[in-house]
Amino acid sequence: MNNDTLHGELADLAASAEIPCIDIRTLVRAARRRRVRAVAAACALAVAVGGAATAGVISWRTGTEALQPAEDNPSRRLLVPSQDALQAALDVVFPGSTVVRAEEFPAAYLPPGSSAFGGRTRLGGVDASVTLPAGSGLSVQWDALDKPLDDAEAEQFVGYRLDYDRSQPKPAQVLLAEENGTFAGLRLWRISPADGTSRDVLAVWARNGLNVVVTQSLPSATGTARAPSDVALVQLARRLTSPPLAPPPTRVAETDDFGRISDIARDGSWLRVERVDMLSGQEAEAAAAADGRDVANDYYLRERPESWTRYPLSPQVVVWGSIGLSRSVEPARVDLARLIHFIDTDTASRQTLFHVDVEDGMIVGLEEQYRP
Amino acid sequence: MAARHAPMVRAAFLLTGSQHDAEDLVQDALVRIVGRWRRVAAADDPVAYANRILLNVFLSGRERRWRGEVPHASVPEEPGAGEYGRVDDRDRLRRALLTLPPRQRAAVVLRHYEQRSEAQTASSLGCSVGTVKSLTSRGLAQLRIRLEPDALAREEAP
Repeated sequence: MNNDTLHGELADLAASAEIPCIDIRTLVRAARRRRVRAVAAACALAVAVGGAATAGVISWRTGTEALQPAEDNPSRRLLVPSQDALQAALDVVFPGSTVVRAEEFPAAYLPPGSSAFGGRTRLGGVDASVTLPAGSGLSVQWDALDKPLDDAEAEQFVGYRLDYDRSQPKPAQVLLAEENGTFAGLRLWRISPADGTSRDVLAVWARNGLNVVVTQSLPSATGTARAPSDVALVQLARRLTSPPLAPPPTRVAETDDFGRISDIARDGSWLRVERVDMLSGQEAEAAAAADGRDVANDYYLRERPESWTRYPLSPQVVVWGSIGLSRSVEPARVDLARLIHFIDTDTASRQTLFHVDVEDGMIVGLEEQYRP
Repeated sequence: MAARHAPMVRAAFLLTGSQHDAEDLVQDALVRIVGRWRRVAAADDPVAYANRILLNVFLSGRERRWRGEVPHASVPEEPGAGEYGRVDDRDRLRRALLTLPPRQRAAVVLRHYEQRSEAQTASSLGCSVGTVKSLTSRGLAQLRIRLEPDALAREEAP
């Protein structure tokens, strides 16, 4: 099977699909009716937070006029015409803070003639990195996404979900819309103090502005931002933020490996990979001949037990199993506990091969190689 | 958008392996595209933007919806002759594609059906070129393991 053959076969398969009719008017109506439905937990949290003390409220005025904190009008979107204006706005909430990173917001997302500064998230929102006043040693990121609902712009927020995407080292986010079209939202992120520790933070935007819930206690900080101390809120936030988020790396070195998992820590903190070369084509023929063996199914495995690596294992590792690990012909996701049990107890694990995704020296993904 | 509908359905069919799922996927993507039409139309490459939406809908739906697969034995199949053989081949390819994890499947479809470059595929999937290479090579290796034994059997058949 070469590339040309595969393209032809895929094209032949694709051509067998039936093409249904589309009704543009139906699509337009569906798009207008579309609303993000609140996750039950998110609703409960929003209701709970709405009544709690809400220090650290951020409110902004839209448009390109000079920014003024709009205490009486919290449901406005932040459109910052310049980095200086962003700084001025943030000074209201975090006096003495400094914008350390800002990017121009994509023009396609803005009304004509306007501009905005913030940082783009993976989900296309607006955020900014801010360093809190000297002495607190904290940095915080958030999104300013509280705005009246516009039908077309609502689609920007569709499809977000609460559960953390473990394949991507970036915070997850969910949005819910209220009946009058005013957005509210949740955002998870990590606060990283200068002492190397970290805190998981859940922020909730409700109609009265930004509320911050901290899952663990913050070190002492100046400024007006304070977290509510309600135990129930913290417990709920802790459930929503478990497991702890990994800080987004500024630069990720991606590598991969392939082989058997010969050992794994009971707590899942590391595993050992004995490398196996999976060869195909002429390379397989040559290697098999050199080893005095045959090639089956157009691939040949060359064992290299002398070449092994012990890797730390990410708690958010994504694991796909097949015949060995999940006892399924089709690929299936399994959790880390299942993998540990398999390697620890199942003799079949000695014959099971894995593709290993490594980022910055840590395993973030494992995928069993299907073998008939 | 009407001109892109048929290509989107065909790509969706390769990604989902099912006519019904493909139609649902395209419908879902089109609702999103219509909802943000101003942005799509204003984008540097509206077709690429629309394709990215389709991919995102596919990937976010598939990777979240982990279905606990019930293991079953593979039923050996006799290769058919003539047009029946061609249908068998298509079905084998369709089922072989479904054995790939979603991102591998998407990488193979983008690279080898839509014939996009590695850079374009990386942009669509939101990953690095290196990851595209890895996803594609694993996907192709898996497909070869699934498909080549059948090809060998047909060659050996009288």
